[in-house]
Amino acid sequence: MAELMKIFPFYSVPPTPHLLAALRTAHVLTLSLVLGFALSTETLVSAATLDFARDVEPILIKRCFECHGPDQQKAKLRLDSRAAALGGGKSGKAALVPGHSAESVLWQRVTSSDIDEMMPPKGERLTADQLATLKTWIDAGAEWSSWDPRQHWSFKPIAKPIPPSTKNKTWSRNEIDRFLLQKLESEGLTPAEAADRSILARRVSLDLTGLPLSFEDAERFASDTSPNAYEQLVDRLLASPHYGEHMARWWLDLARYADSNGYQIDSTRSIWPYRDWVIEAFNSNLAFDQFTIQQLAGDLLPNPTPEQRIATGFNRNTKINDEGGGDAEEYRSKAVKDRVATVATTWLGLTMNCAECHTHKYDPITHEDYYRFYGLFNNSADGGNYSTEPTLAVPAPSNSITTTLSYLESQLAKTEQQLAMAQQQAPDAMRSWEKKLLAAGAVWEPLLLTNINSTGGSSYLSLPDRSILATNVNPIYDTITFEASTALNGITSILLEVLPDSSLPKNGPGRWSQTGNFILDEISVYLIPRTAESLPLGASTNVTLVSAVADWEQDYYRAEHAIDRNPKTGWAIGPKFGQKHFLVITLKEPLKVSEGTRLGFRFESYHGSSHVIGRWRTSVSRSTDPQVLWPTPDDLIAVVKKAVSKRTEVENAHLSQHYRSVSAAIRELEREKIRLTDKIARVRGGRFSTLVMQERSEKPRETYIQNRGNFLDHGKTVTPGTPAFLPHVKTEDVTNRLTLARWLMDPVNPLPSRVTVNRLWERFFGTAIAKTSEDLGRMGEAPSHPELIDWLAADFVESGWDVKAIQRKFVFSAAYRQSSNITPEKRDKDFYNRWLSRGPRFRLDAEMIRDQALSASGLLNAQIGGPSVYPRQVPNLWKEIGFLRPELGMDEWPVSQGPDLYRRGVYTFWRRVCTYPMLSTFDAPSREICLSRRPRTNTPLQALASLNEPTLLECARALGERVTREGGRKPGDQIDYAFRLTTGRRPTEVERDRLVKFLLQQISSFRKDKAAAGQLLLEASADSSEGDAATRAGWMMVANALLNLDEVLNKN
Amino acid sequence: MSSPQEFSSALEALRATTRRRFLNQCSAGVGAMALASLLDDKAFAAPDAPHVLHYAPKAKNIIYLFQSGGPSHLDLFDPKPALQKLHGQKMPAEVLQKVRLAQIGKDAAVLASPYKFRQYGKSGMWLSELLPHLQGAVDDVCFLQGFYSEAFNHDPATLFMNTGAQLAGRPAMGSWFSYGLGSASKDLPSFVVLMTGAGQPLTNSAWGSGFLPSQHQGVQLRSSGDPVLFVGNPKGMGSERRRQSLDVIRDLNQIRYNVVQDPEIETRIAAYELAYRMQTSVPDVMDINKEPAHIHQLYGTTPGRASFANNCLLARRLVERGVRFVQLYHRGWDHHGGPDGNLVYDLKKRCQETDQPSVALIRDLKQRGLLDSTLILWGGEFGRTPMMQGSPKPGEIGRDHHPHGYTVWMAGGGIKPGTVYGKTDELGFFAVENKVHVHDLHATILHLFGVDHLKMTYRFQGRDYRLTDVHGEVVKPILA
Repeated sequence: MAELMKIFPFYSVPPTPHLLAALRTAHVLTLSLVLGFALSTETLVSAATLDFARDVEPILIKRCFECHGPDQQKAKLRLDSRAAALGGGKSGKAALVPGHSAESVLWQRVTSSDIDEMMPPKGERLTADQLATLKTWIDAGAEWSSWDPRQHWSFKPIAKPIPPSTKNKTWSRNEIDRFLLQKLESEGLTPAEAADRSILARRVSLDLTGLPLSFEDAERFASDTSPNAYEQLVDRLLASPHYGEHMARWWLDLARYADSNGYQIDSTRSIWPYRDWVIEAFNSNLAFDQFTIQQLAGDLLPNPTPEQRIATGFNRNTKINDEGGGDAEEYRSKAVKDRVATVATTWLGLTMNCAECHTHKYDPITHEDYYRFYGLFNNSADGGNYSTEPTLAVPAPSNSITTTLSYLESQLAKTEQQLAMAQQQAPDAMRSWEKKLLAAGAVWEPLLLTNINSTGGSSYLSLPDRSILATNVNPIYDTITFEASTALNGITSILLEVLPDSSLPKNGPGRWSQTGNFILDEISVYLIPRTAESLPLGASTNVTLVSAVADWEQDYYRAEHAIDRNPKTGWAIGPKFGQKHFLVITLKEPLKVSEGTRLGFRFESYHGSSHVIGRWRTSVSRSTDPQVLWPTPDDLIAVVKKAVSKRTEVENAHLSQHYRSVSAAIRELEREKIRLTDKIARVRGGRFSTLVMQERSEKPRETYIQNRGNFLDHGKTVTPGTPAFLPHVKTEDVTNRLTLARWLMDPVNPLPSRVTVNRLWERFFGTAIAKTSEDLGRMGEAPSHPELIDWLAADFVESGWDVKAIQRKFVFSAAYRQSSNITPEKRDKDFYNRWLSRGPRFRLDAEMIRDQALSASGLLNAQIGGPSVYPRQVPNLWKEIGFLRPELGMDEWPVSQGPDLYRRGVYTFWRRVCTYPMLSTFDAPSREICLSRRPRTNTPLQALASLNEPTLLECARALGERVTREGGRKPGDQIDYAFRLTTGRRPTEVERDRLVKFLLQQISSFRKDKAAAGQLLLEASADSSEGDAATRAGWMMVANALLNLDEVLNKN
Repeated sequence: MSSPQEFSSALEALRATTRRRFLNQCSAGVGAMALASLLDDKAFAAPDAPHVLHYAPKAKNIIYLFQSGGPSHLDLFDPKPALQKLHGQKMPAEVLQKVRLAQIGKDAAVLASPYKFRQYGKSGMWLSELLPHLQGAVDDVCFLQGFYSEAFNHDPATLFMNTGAQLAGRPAMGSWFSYGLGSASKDLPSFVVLMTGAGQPLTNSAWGSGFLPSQHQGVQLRSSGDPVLFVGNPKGMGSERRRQSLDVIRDLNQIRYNVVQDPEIETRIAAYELAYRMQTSVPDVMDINKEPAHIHQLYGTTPGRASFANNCLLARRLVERGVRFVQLYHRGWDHHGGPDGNLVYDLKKRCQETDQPSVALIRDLKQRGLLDSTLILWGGEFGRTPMMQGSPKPGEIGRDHHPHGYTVWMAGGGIKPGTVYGKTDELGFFAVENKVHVHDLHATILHLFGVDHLKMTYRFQGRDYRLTDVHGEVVKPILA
């Protein structure tokens, strides 16, 4: 027990010594203060303070309603109304006798020790506290202040309150402030002073665009002395196209937008045009009612435009199951339920999903209401399995294609230029190669392979050329072992030739039926002592392999993957099938083979689908020259042996052609050229589409209640509709998605406007007015400023649902412009800043951390829209988690190139089962379900990501370079510039001195260790060798530190 | 003695910590426990301690050996003579009336197990010839033979076993442990995930924190590359230089804290210090080279070669360092038949990979005196059907997914050793006696850790969520 108690909070602050000292004397008091009732043993329940809805009803709901509630009435008893409880059940005895707990059957049963009598029959007994509460309540008359849903604050009609008057008449700038100030005054708090201008400018820029101000914009604002300088800045920011990106990033969490289907196969999907639609909608300030209608029912509008149909992608962000054996109806039903949950959370702020299996326990949503709502989404044409249809073809995204093409073409031109230069030097180099080749004699000794064994059960034929051909069983996975003897001592290299054969699928050289490919995941080489009878699997006499090169390697299936000891990566040869290829492997040190020792080999294939080698030959060599080791066919050797004058033109051409692969430089460049050409063709030929909603043309699907949420268990049939407790709009019945959308946006509906302003508020002030922005129902938290939320909701509707206007009001308020510094008084009285006695200060969202670093360093590619991109990610993450099935197309992160590496986070390819690690570390969701509010944590894993994530490191390098380029010559000036680029303000003297000291110390230490400087720059993709490496590396260290400052990771 | 000011600042700091730890929590149930874990052991031993943990805990750590894909109970743990008799015939119709099947039809033929079974240990547990190591450890193990689940596709079933719900979005069991019990390690996460094998993909929702704050999500330790993402400094930086940069970051944060006074800045300073410690502690725990030869022999481990055996050894090392929840995923148990995964080649191979190291873990923990406080759980997301799937070649037979009755086993951590609990019907189809549902298993595991599954709750979207949803009964007869 004692050891167990030594629990340390891994992710929390360990108590500081002075805190511990204080706690040692005070801990008991502290605990009971903080924990309140949790630790109290004796509860004094007083009838005077007892509240039925708060204290009593939750006990009944949790412990009684399952059997005696709205859905089920065992023994004909229900306890969800006073009348019913007074009437009793089958026994006829009253469950409650007001004023007399002892006579109440309810009390007798919950206190009984008779196993047949006691209630509840399952789970723990009621606690002493709960019993005390019930007893006090019954004895006091069992008053049943039945909760009237119409009286719940968020369900009431919205009346626009008049902003209150306040004692302080000078502070308020607009109506928002008057509501806030009144509360501050009543809490005995005073507002904070206005924030420093530069801090405010960074705050508002991050809040409206997700990016810090550019240096020039910050300067412009700093020197703008006009009285409305701030207002003008806000208008510039709202007009920036980056505003729409930032808003979309937020909306896409609700819309659960992702680029993959979800579930375990999680294949890719194309729905980015929906994401771009959201960006454009926010940028053009589409009124929120239109924004809603088009997303929910754009396809049902008269003569819908393509944009209106694209908008319906909102409801197509549901998951699709590609696993074999899934029941199509089950997964279709899951998708419909996801729509119910998502639409309810997004527009109604209700947890309607709770009513999937039974009537909602807290909010007035019946089981039937749920399935009537379900009915609204139950007639769409999409299914739940395999297919992403219906989709809509969309035009090619010309902007992003132009950028990509121009980058690829410039790379191609560069490659061709380098190739031309390499070729110019080729004739001389070729002659020296010919000489070496002649001197070397026979380079490779083909081995006679014996004892070939396949764990997958394949058989093998030895062919006269010493190659081996696999026959009969074609295993899905395989481990092939074989042996050979050789007299050759001092072996340095091994050659594996994979050969085509007409008996193999598509002529081989592999055995995958579709193409003849193979994937060699691992090759191992062993020395087998004379005494050992056969190859010991897992033997420790492993020969160390240091490098592998191939004449051809498939994208992401590189030669070195065959020897990297990672079974999930391997060498493959697509799309050059049906031809001979080879792999040259270098050993760490020459092999000393004593007499009778044999060589053992092992090929491992884990990728499945018979990606195994079909025909191969293995040779060994003692040469150490890579050019000599590059296999040269016998007929070309014969040419080399001829005098130059005697060679024919054809022979010369063949020899030059062959030399292009012998030369590592030319080989690499040619491979790059092929790759780029191929990529350009693919980008040019791209076809684009997006997932859309569409109603079925046949008779509407019947909707029935699913008993206990089981799609196979049909209850009664229901008609589509909205929850009965919410107001009906007289003009039309809600029967489909379009009428639903209109009903949501009718001002009579009290929820959508409240939900939306509340959620928008959260973005600026950190905590929503009603904190649980996902749930404004009964179990959600009551608003801190009930009148303010209503005023904002009413104002939002009156403005014509103007999204920019309402946010302008937020940032124009004096409350928003306060300093976020905490004083002892504020800490004491407003610890969580719920009364907004100071300005908001909290950590930036994941994407903002990335975008800010890109922006400050100057690396940001500010292009808007287009298909999702693949910034740098640790290699092989998808392989670790997914199917090793390249044919499914989702086994490798196809890392982008050039400018696409530096796009904003909102464009990062969102894979649900493996969310981009930098983003998920900073609390970005997987987007499998609708999310209203991201958690905001502060963890060591975030520290590691912020310090070492590849793109952030690259930003540090680029930021350092930018500062040395633009920030003057003196270290102090440079530090000032760097500090302003990251924090938005000038450093204090102390701060500047500390950073200058660090800079100079780093530069001087890198001067002494130039290799370290070079390595560090290389790690951060340094693409030029200009400038002094020590200075650049020193600056990279400083910039890395700056990007990790708490002040930079936060808005302040 | 502390002055009122000191006390008040201590209280504030404590509140700050609590704020981060619970986010939106009200101070009920597990909140009390989690808060206690923030204090030193004296505070935890306060008179209120018995109220904090609901029961006296037996287990401190858990190692969950998750066998992904669905190992066949009928070929490993649960021999059924009736299948031998009915081999090749249709299943009795009344058995199939109530069920849905994943891939096979209802007319699929009964498949007898090709493997020999014998009884072992004092409990007389029947085990297949494929598990020679487990045969010798039966007296340490408790087999749940009447175990059952509800989902029969991999993704929902895996989520169900690990989060108690079939849909993504709920916290994993390990996240609940991290949230409720905290970590006993100063420099390692409390919930660690290790992965081997190939086959059915896994989604990281299985070890995600769902609606719990994300610091409770499982941290995957990878067998190649950085063991924890981004834990390694870039080349050319080195630990000394990193320390220098962390010093400047700390100094500047401290300067800013003096102005802004936001306690969140102090949390960040602490988080960066923990990150620095992890840069040493994580590579250290992953390095199994220094383990003695007899330990490598016991587990069958080869340093540097990713394997389930290596992960079992790592699990022990993590538990020794205070990691509370270690979860191993080993993939490749989805044996439908045919060349792609069958009960002959593939099942044998999986057993060769897992049998020895799983048992080595029991023995190793036992010899170190850690088995009593470490619970080992071995099992998949479902079992497999008594019927054969398709009509493959004799060497490629297989079975379909089957959640209605299968076997998982546990050892150590307060579980009654040498127990066989529950059974399936004659055909190994339905669990019929002493049935244990997924929620019951979760309730029982929490009980072993001193936690009442009804009381460990988290308020989300207006509802108090539990690992066991609204179900679950502690299986008392298997408690030691």
